[in-house]
Amino acid sequence: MSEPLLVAENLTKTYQRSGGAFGFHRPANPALIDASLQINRAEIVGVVGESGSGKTTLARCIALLDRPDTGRVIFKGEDLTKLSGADLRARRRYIQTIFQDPYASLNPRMRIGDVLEEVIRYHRLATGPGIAARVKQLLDQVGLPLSAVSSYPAAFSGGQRQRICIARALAAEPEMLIADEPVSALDVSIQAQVVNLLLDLKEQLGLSVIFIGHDLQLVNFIAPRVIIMLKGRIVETIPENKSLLDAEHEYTRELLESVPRLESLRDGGKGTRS
Amino acid sequence: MSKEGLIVEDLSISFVQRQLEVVTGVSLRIGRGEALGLVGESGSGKSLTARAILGLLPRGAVASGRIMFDGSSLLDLAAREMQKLRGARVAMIFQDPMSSLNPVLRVGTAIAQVIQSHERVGAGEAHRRAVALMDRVGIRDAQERSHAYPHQFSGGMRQRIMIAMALAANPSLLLADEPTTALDVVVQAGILRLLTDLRHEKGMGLLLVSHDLAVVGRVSDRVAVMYAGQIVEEGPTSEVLFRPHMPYTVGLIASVRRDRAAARLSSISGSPPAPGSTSAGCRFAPRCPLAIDACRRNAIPAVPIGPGHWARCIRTEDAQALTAADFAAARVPGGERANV
Repeated sequence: MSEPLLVAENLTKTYQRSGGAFGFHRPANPALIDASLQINRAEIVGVVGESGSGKTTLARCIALLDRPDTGRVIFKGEDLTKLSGADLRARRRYIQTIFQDPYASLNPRMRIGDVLEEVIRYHRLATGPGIAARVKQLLDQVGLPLSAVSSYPAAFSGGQRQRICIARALAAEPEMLIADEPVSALDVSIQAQVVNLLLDLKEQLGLSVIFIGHDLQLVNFIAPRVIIMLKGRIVETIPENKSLLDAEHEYTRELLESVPRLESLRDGGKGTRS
Repeated sequence: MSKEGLIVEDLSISFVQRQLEVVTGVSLRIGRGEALGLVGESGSGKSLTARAILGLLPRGAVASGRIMFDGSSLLDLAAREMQKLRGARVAMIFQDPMSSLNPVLRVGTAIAQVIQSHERVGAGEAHRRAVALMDRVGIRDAQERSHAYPHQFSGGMRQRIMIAMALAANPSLLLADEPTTALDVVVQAGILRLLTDLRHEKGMGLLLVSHDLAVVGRVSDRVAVMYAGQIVEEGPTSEVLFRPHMPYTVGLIASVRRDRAAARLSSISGSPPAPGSTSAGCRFAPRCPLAIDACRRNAIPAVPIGPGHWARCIRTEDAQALTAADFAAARVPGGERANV
């Protein structure tokens, strides 16, 4: 077995609450407690939990968008938490993030071609005519028409905007993608398209993906290995080749039962679980 | 046919200035104590349909057709009459409870105000009943919590408070527009159970608007599927969900299957048409694996399938046999179209 691409060890993060009413200091709860995780090349790992469970904090600490209070993030043998300034910025290129809300994460006044070009130029990944060729390739990879180059974000639907966000992440030529609830804001018929695109990209580019969501079954479809979070802690890891039905932690089973499933309605008529 | 309950006939909604028709010829019927699920994706017109019932359309939108409730025509009601009906006989809850609650009002007071606006009761009695309602919708320590402000509650608890407010005047019909979409799955399950219990307990009718087939399936007797402003299939819940006859419904149901043995999720290529860009024929035809020339030419009638079950499709016989592979193969020319 080759070395994992990324190892996060014992990450803890507490966000300081600023002020409070009249400057009284309220004690802050840690958002992330002692979380460890590793991910191999071309692997998709799922992270599931309810809102406030620390999923996003875990993702932000791994991407060093937030600095963890304690713990280490070892990416290709190097501890990212020890880096700062230009060194950190240079490494960040390899770990790209896409977010839940594709409406909020695109500048409405920038054409799609310029969005992608900016990333390519910033990281100096192509020059001259190579830039336009790379933009074309990126659009093709995420299934957008070439005409998107000269359009503004407003011209696109939610699913298409998420494809643009994915293209922008790919423009940096990352080795890892953190997808924070990438389909939660999308319609069901579009969700499947975006999930399938991520699976294609993993295979074609050998990308590692951390896929965060709250629908356990959907996450387990895309990610063979799933981590369950509750109140800032990782409470269970469902390994590859193991069925969700064998989950041990009580909370995992509750999550599983809570998602209404068409299949579960078939036999029980009106599935009013009591 | 009984005149009780809600009857919507041939409802169309247009934004007149932009000459856009966003809902076309919708007919619905919800008898006393019945629950109808209205399913559709964003932009399908499901929320506007629900809002039109209570005259809550956004500025510039105009409804035509007929909306009857317990024998009276709602589209003809004067503003004051409509205001009396709202909350008292027909109540509505929305997706985002935080923006529907007054942040500077204690929740017990907010619920009590609703009670007092519909009935002549004293402040003490109104507050006592508010606490009882909070207790009924599953808020623990209701007496104590009635003095708290909305921001002191979680999203799920706020939605319970909204439901308590909606119930305050004992409405006979509840319109719920994506009531659980902003909530976690565990909290969602609790709210769905509560809605089902209340419906049975109070004999209240329910119109549940959602994009989630499984959510709708859990609480409704019947399901209507909307696509691009039209109802494309309607029938008893188990018929529509397990024996769908309209290709869109088939594709939608396939796209929420989580078969780990499959390499990819089943998806419908393309995206819904923008309002105003539809042609005379079937609105799903550009994405449909079964579409033939006849589908595109003329308006598609409602084709009866079984008791109370119909679909707006001329190829219903072949629709049931559609597989994920058919949808994957139905390539839309030029990929997804931009909504311009």
